[in-house]
Amino acid sequence: MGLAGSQRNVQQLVDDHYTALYRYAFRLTGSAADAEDLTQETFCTAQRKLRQLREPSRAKPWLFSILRNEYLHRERTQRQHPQVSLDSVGELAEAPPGPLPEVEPEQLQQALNELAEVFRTPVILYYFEDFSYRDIAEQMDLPLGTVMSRLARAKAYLRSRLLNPGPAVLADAQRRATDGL
Amino acid sequence: MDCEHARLLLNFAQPLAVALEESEAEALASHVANCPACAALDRLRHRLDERIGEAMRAVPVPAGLRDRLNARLARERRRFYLRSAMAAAAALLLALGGGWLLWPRPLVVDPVAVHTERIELPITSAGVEKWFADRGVTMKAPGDLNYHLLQYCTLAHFQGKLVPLLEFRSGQDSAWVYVLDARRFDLAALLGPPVGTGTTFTVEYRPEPGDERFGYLIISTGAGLEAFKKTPQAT
Repeated sequence: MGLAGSQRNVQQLVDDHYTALYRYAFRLTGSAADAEDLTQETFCTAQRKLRQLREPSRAKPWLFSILRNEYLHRERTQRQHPQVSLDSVGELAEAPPGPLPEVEPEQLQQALNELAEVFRTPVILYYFEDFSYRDIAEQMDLPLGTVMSRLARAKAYLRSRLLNPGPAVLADAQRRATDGL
Repeated sequence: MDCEHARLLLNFAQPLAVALEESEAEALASHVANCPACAALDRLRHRLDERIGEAMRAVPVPAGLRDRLNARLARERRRFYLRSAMAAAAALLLALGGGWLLWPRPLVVDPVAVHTERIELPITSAGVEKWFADRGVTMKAPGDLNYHLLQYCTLAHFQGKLVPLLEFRSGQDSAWVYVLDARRFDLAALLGPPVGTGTTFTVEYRPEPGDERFGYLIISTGAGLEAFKKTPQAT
């Protein structure tokens, strides 16, 4: 039977993971409609390929991997958001004056949209807490060191971006994104 | 360990990261304990990371998402069962050797080929017959099925000709009823016991007892047609 696994197993996958998958999809795409679409496609693929899931404890990373692949497949055919270079992003050197600002989800999403997917995915997975560096490396099929490096740069970008979200920073990010175009 | 090295390692000394060697972790902890600047920076990063993490996870999940997901998965399963059943039915009919039934081209069964109007539910068997008659199609709806379970009616391709198709649903199981006209098909060649059974579907042919002009090719999932028959209470 092509639809491997019982209906009950698929139902369990949905119940256990649909909220986390949707939230991941939303942070990847920045769009509620795209996120729901991606989530649906992910579970449909999972239903067809359930036989590939040999360890139920690995269901979450497996589902996240399916979703990411689906997202990348769509990204190849769609226009990309302008993205910033992280080459010269520096880490925080000292605490800013005044209280630490709140981080608004919309502001965070805008910052995420400015990151290339290869930086955006590890930083999203990192902040969802359930994924270790090793999990992220497996997800992205990358060496651990590469993941650690990308994550450090992406986190540094988010921290400085969210602490200093002024127009000058935005203008600079846009300029970097369009340099050489 | 100097501050530059410590600040680099602080990137990776996070819960769940487990990316530092034990000796590195100890050296880092010792440095942070004795360096107010690095300790302050570490606290700042932790606090900021906590806030970023909270914002990252603060995605409202749309109401009804789980139900929509389950509905979509159920549709996908039905489509899969239908494709499997159609392929098996086609193969079985070919094997029966009803040669003149077959067009000299591949058998094509496409139940959603014509879906221009939705029938208004609930409806009776007589209502279904009238619905088709209003659209120029004479047919006989099986009288022993429970029309409370009817999902839709349409015209579908069967062996190159358009025939009425009714879909019934009972829980997770479905039954598709193709209404065949004796003037267009050799119904006598199809008479007999169930012509095929797979692990997830049954294919059978039944003549219409009240009208020899018609017969029904029925593909059903689950335990078979009994689940779709009229109960004493149903009309």
